[in-house]
Amino acid sequence: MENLIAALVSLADPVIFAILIGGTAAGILIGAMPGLGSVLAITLALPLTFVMGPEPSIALLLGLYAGSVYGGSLSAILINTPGTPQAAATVFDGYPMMQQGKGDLALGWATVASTIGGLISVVILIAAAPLLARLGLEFGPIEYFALGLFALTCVISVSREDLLKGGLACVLGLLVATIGQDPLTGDVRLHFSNFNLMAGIALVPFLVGLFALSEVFWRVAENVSPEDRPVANTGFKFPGLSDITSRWRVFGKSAIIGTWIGTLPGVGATASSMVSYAEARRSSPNGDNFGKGEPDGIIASETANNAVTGGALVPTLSLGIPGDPITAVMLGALIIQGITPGPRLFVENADLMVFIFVALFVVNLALLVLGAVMGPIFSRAIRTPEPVMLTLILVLLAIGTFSVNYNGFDLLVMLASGVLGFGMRVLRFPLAPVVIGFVLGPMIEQSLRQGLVIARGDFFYFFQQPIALVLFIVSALFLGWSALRHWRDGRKAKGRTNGTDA
Amino acid sequence: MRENSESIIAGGAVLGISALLFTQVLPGQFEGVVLARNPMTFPRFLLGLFALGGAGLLVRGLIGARKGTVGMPVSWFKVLAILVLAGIYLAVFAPLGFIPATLVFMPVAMLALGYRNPLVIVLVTLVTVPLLWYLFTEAFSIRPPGIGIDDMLRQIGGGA
Repeated sequence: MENLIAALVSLADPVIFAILIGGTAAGILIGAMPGLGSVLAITLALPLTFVMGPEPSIALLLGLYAGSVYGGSLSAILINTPGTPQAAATVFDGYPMMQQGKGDLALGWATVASTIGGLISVVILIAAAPLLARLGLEFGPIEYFALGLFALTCVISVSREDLLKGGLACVLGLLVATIGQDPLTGDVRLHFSNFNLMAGIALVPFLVGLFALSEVFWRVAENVSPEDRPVANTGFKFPGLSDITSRWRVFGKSAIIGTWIGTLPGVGATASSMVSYAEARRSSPNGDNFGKGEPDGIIASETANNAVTGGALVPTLSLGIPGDPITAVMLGALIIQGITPGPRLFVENADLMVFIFVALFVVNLALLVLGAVMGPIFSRAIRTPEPVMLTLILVLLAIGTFSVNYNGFDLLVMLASGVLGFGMRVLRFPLAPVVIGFVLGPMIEQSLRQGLVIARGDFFYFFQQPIALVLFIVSALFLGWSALRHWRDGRKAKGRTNGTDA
Repeated sequence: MRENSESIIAGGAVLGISALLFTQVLPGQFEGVVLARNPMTFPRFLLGLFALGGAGLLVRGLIGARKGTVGMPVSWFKVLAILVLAGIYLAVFAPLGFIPATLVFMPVAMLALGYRNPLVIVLVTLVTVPLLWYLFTEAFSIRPPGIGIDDMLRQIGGGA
């Protein structure tokens, strides 16, 4: 109880509250810009968290996270282009509503759905995270190694396009994490006799380069048009209360789907909104109207994608295992603050955990107000000419990354990571496994080697630990199932090609 | 780009990175140290996996079972231009200072990206640079490198 009061007192601090609201607003703005997305929003802010305390940092990052997921719906509805991949399913019914002259109501439904989805997921986060953390307290190095491996397997297995490339991206992340000091002995390795590399590759420049800078290069490569995007202006209208309550089944089901999918490493908000949309279409009495401007379609997509925010934080906070790049960056931000997410967090930093829950709750409520008041204004930001926007982002990345350590070498790391990320995009390697591998690398290596010390060098001892064994089996099944699915998809595609040729 | 060409390039790149990193894990000072305490155990294992995967990609490309066109057309000239500009900007950012480097970089980058409205270019540059400088210096207590607006004002004041 005292933790709750302390969290509320912290949030009542005008500076922290302003940061939370400002972060949410900035998140909506970035999310509304097609292609920018949640990872960019959070990586842009990551350098700023260095100069903040834990609470303002968390408030900023949570605001950006939830705000950017919601912001994607604005451009999905207004210009038929999802601002973030998470809002892809919102396009199906949001834009038809816009064409019917009901864009204001579509924005209202998206805002209400995002808020309800986010709030339900926070409740589930509050209930589930401590339970999972309690289980995590039973974990030793061997179990942590198995858990890390499981997280990597999940992330690789969702690289549906190419499992091999997903695996290679993950190994690359793990390799980059080994540069610098050995976490166990302190010996330096893979430093190419460069003094700066002996300290290792810093999280911020690497992530900022890999995601944000490579995004800038990628958008330039797409041959951006300097002309303004055509944007129809629209107002904002809340749906009636009876309309909302009559659709409680869609809200509830979509929130549960979103939160559940959010807890699974690697699956993410895009899949959740698609699954939720498909389920709503199947079960809704208005199923025939889906794709023609049916509010249930917007509700299903937006409730689910915002519900992922709470769900994704469950394994991140309770086990220290990020499920996607967004939570991986958040994990990094917490580590920067000297906070190690994992089971001990609930024991040692219970006050901070409560603050996270309360802040996420307030952020979701803020979406409702910000969406209504500023939604139409944010929608105008979509008109920002792309060359201007990309240049601004580049400058922000430079000043933000430099300010972390006041070190010019960080800027070079950022540039190199940006080029690496761009090359990976061109060659269609997924980026998410790199960052998950990079963040989890030290934990996996440390737990593997500590486990080997415990097992006196006998790796088979790892398989004699029940929790670890279960995790190894699940990982193998996950990977095997993904490989099988990949092989079957390939055969189907080949069959279709042969059929066409015939 | 054809899919098999893409696999060959990707496989080659992975093998190239493997070779580069392999030079750092050659037998040396840590020989004889037990597996669990050897700092090279984990990187070597990962490098082995990485090289194996790269070879797999290369073989897949060379066998060339899938030959459809993949990816999207890339505007290489613009990418190269922004890469060079970003490289120069990041290289001079610390030694030259945030304000002069950004005052030059912003208009040049916008022009290179094809934006041709001089009024907007000038306005965005002149508003962004002091705004960011002020935001970082005052709100976040992080002073960007090089001469600051306060220094300039002092010089103007001193000169007058």
